[in-house]
Parts: sequence; structure tokens; C-alpha cells
Amino acid sequence: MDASIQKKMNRRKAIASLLVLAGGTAAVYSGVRWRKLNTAPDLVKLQAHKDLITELAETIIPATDTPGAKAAGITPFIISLVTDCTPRREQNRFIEGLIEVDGYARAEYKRSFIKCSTEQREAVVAYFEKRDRPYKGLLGKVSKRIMGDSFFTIMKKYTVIGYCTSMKGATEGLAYDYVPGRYVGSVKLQPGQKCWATE
Amino acid sequence: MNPNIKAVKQLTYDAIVIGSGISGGWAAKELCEKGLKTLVLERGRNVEHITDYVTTLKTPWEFKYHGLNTSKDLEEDPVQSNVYNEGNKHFFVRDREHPYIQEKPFYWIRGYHVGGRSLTWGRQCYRLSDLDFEANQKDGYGVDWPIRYRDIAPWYDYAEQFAGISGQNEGLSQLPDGQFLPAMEMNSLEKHFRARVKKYFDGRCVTIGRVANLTKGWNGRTPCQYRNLCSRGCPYGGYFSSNAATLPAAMATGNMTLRPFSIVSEILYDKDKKRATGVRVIDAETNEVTEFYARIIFLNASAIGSAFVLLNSKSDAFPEGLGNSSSMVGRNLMDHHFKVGAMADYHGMEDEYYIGRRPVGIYVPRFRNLGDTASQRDYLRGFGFQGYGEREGWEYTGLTEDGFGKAFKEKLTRPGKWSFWLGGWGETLPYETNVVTLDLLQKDKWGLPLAKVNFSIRENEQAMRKDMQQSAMEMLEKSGFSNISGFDYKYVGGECVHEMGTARMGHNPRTSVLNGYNQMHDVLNVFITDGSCMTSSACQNPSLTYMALTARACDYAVGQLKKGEL
Repeated sequence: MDASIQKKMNRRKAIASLLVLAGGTAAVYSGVRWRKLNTAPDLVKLQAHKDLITELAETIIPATDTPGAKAAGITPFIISLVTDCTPRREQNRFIEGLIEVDGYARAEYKRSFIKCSTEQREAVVAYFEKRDRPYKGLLGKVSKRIMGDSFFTIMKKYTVIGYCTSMKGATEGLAYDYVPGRYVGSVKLQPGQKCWATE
Repeated sequence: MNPNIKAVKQLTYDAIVIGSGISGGWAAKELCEKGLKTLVLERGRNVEHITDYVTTLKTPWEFKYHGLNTSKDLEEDPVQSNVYNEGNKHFFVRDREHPYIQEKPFYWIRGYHVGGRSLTWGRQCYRLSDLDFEANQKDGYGVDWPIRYRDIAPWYDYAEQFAGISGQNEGLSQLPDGQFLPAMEMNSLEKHFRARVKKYFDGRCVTIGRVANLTKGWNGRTPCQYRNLCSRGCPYGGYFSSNAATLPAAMATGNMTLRPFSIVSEILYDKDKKRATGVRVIDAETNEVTEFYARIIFLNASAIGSAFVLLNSKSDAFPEGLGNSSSMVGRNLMDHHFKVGAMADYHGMEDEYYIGRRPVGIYVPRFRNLGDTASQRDYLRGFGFQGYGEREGWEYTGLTEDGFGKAFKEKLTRPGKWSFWLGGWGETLPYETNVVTLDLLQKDKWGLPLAKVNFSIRENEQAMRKDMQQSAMEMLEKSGFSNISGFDYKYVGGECVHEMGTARMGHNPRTSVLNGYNQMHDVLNVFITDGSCMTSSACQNPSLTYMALTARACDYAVGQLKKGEL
């Protein structure tokens, strides 16, 4: 095995392995919540919330001088990841989170998230971003192991992956070089230099 | 003519090669080029160069999961999914179709198709030296290699010149120079690291990885295009594989018959002639059994696969498996232990970047236990480092930076900070109790017994791992890096995909399976030149050594055949 594959594996372990590490740890943590998170999720709800997912993704990666998440059209990809690449506990936390977002928007602004203004959406997302930040250190590791990733961590991660690997995100938001044809080890950064889309 | 005689004649070749991976492909090429009518048997499907690289031109967004694995992949392929992704999954076996038994955790990562793992290999190519060939004799682990560097050196030249290996000569005795194509370039941070290590660490060298990717047109193949998608198969033939290089050469002679879907269940033996006569093949699709015959047989089914074939070839003469009078078949299984080292950040060079996706990193050749006092440590043998410097991309920044919105997007889409990764690849000693056996009770869908693997690393490797991590951290510290963190992820046997040693070479037929020409001590017309033959593992990536040993063994075998010795 070569270093690049291994580094990717390490990286996945550190960051994105969250994706597909199914099952595993026994319930030291027992309790109603844990059990609830392990029941079969109602994935049909994802389709019902697809506009909410789209607007959440756009709030995380908005259109600027380059396309945002909405223009990149990544909602079906996010739904595919939640449906097919996500452990059950995180599927449940994700669906729960979507419902909570709408509940919070209604409580604060008397309207659903997608009806909120940009400023209101940002305030809602700021609340969930802060609420769901992973605990630091050991507590974070234990919590993640038993409960899986929090709602917003999943939402943000899938938005990032979806955007950066989408056609618009990769070719306009980032710098995508389909067939480089050469390797140059040292070049000066160009003004406005984007990060390479693939490694 | 008696119809049976006719049938036998049609199924008779000069040579049979079992397996079409790196070493099988070389055996096919060498034997065919020397004029032998050669049957190459591959247990899996055919993979035509270029035509069958079905994902090779796809962009990330053309994959349903943009390259990621699904929960179902993990559940159905708990072993292979550690390595594959959506882009190259079709070059790995389905775990459920090809079961084996892990007595201790052991990942047997495989691809059953023409070309085998030569399509998905890491492609790094390093010569062994006499430090390696003399190691067993000096410290008493395993048996002495029956060859020394001078025996294999011209064959390394030969293999490198055909395969096309890019790299840089460094004049090191422990990592001999070779016949290299122009080296790939280091990036700014790697150049910095090379200079610092040279300055602060006497005798340590940071060189560009020596890799079977072409830096110029070579033997009809196009140079590497720096896409770094090698494991999907390369439509340019930019890296060495059986499919791109050796099998086309073999085919061009008109002497090769390639037969996919051909599972070799055993090698047939004639106890009067004391020779192998052929092989028994199960058609993977129809289960039809056919026998093929030849004067010589090259067994290149991989370390575990070849041990399986030998152990399953039982006869009155060899009740414990073909050529196993030493009881060494299946024993001394080795892999390289790794997943230990250090990572760090680098502040500076903020206006530096790079263009292209270089398919290899840097290499730090072994610097421990070289024979002098200064390099000596309290464990045996040594390790090398692979690594690389990079500016972190969205894969890091997107998932580590707090926040959202415009400010977050700005960070996400710019080149991130420079970082460096250094990981050790360590030698594993040959232990007789690290072993492949057959489980006769459990059978696969072709009715064949299951291979059973019992492998673990021991005290020497554990002691080495501590040094691997410490010395990686030390090198990064002295080179001006910050935020240095050592790591030692749990290594699972087999994960390095460098299985070796299950039919080792040696002088003595009582303690080894093969002689100095990879010829079975017990059965002179059977040669084994895959990872099985390795008497010790050294710490270098082993495939180049299989290529050289294969070409050398073919030369010897055909010479013996012509002299009437076989």
C-alpha cells in the first residue's frame, strides 16, 4: 500500500470516517436515547425536507462570486449519503436535526426555515453550529463513538463533500485540473488562487 | 489417432504460469519471449488494457457517491472496503464470494482478474541490498538467503529497464541505485525537508519515491499524466501493470494462451518421474474440471494463493502438500508493519504551490542497524519512511474550520496550510508460527478448502514501531515543523498488502522450499517467484524484487530445459 492511500485512510479516520463506520460499540451508555437512535430511521422524511436541506446547504456554502451549494445542485447527493453511507444513529440524528431546525425557526421567527430571510437563516444556523460543535478531547471521542456525529456536523460535512466534488463546486468554486499532464513542484501562488479540487 | 491422446496433446504446453499479477505477467513475458508455448491461467475475469478501465476517465461527480463507499460496501466487504473506493472497487474481490479464515485479524486484500494486483499496487520500487540478503544469516532469524546482491543486480537492471521506474540515484549501500527514468520533482516543502535532514542527520537521506510511473515515453507507453488515479487502470499506460506491459509483450510473441476463469485447484505430480506433470483447473463459471500439462510450471498465485495450491496438491509422495517435505509451505508469512509515524504543520512558504497530482511521495531509506555502532538500536532490522508535503485542501479545512457562510467558503476554497506526513514501513521477521493452513471442513463455492491465516507481529516489531514514531517526530522537529503529532494506528496483519515468505528460498531442502533459482527443492520443474519465495521481508516494497527474481528464474529454467535437465 502506498503513502497517499494510507494518508487518505488516516484522514478519513480523523475526519470523514464518520461516514461509514457502522455499528460497533456496545451500549455502555444505555438509555432511551441510545435505543431511539438505533431504531430504523424514516428515510422517506428526507425527501419531504429536501428544500430545507437545500437552504441549509446554501447557508453553509452561499453563492458569492462563485456558485454556492444550491447552484451546485447537491441536495440529491446529500440525501444519497444520508440514505446509503451513514450509520443508523447518525441517520436518526440527522432527521431529528432537520425537524429541530424548523421548530427553532418557527419558535424564533414564526415561519419555516425556508421562508426565513437570509439573516434569520444565518441566525438559526449559528445556533445549531454552536450547539452541535463536537466536544473537545476525550469527551468528544466518547460521545462520537456512542452517539455518532451530531446533526450539524453531518450536515456541514456532507455539504462540503458534496460541493467540492460537484461539477460547479470543483470547476468554479475550486480549481479542477482534469488531466494535468505535468507535475511542477514549486509554483508561485496566483492572485485569487483556488485550492485544487482533487489530490 | 487415439482420441484421448489427441485431447492430451491439445491441452499440453511447454510451460504453465499460474497467476497473471506482477510476477505471473513477468513469467509469461520471459517464457514466451524465450520461445515456450505458454498457458497463463488466471482465476478471475479478463481485463483488457484500456478497454476495461471503465472508471478511469470519470470525474468525481460522475459517481453516485462521488467516490465514497456505502454502508453496504462496509457490511458486505469488511476487508476489501478498507482499501477500495467507488472508483476501483471492481478491481477487488467481493469478500463473500472468496471467504478465508482469520485466526487472528488479517486483511487479505485481493483482486481476481487478469493483471491481479498489478492494476492497484502502490508502484514503489526499491532494490534489496546485501544488508537484507545477509540479515537472516547474521542474526539467526529464518534461514540464510541462497543469493546475494550480486546474483540479482543484473536482473534488477533488466526489470527496471523494461518496467520503467522513475527515481534518483543516491549512492546508498542499503538502497542500491538503479536504471531510472528521470525523477519526479519534489515540492517546495519536500525540498526543504530534504535539505534539513541532510544537514542535521548524518547519513539520512530524503529522496523522491522510486515509482513505476513513466516520466517519459517508454516501450510504447505514454508518460504519466499526473492524474493520480492509477488504481482505476491507466488509459495512457503511464504505470507498469501486467495488462499494460508484460502481457502485451507475451502476447506479441504468439506463444501465449491466456485463460481467465481458471482456478487451479492443484498441481499434478508423477512420482516415478519425480516431476510435476500439469495442473487441475476448475472453470470458475461452469465448475468444469480440466487438466493441462506442461514441462515446467511457474506458480505465481501470490503468497497465500500459492501456499494454498501447494498445500492442496496432496499425493502419496507428498501427503502434506506438493514439495512440502520441509513442512515450510505456508509458514513464515510476513507483511510490512506500518501505520506509524508523525504529522506536522509548517509555517511559511505561503506563496508556494504546485501543479499536478504526483502519484508518489518522498522516501527516507533505512538508517537503523546498518552495521555501524551509531545506527544500532535495541531491535533487529529496520524501516524506511514514506511521506509527503502538501498544502491542505478542502478535505481538511472544510471539516476542521468552525463556522459557515462566506468567511467559511473563502477558507474552504483557498490553499490551506502546508503540512507533512511521514509514515514508517518496517521489516517483519520470519516466524514459523505465522502460517497459512487449509481448513478442510469449510469449503468455498467450488468445493475447495478455505485458507486459514494466523499472523501477528511480535516484540521486535513493537520495539521498532516506537522508534519509527520517535524518529519521525524528531526529524520533523529538527526541520522546523510545528504542531507535530506522532501516531500509531492499530496495524492489522496483511493491511500493507505485502504478503511474503510462505515458500521460502534457502540452501537446505530440509528447512526451505525453493533453491537459489526459485526452483522447488523437491520438484525441479516447479518454480515459484511471487512473494512466497521471500526468505526475509526487508523493509522495502517488494514487487521489484519479484520481477527481477522471476526474470532470473525463467532464464535459468529455460536453460535447464534446453540442457534436458527438466
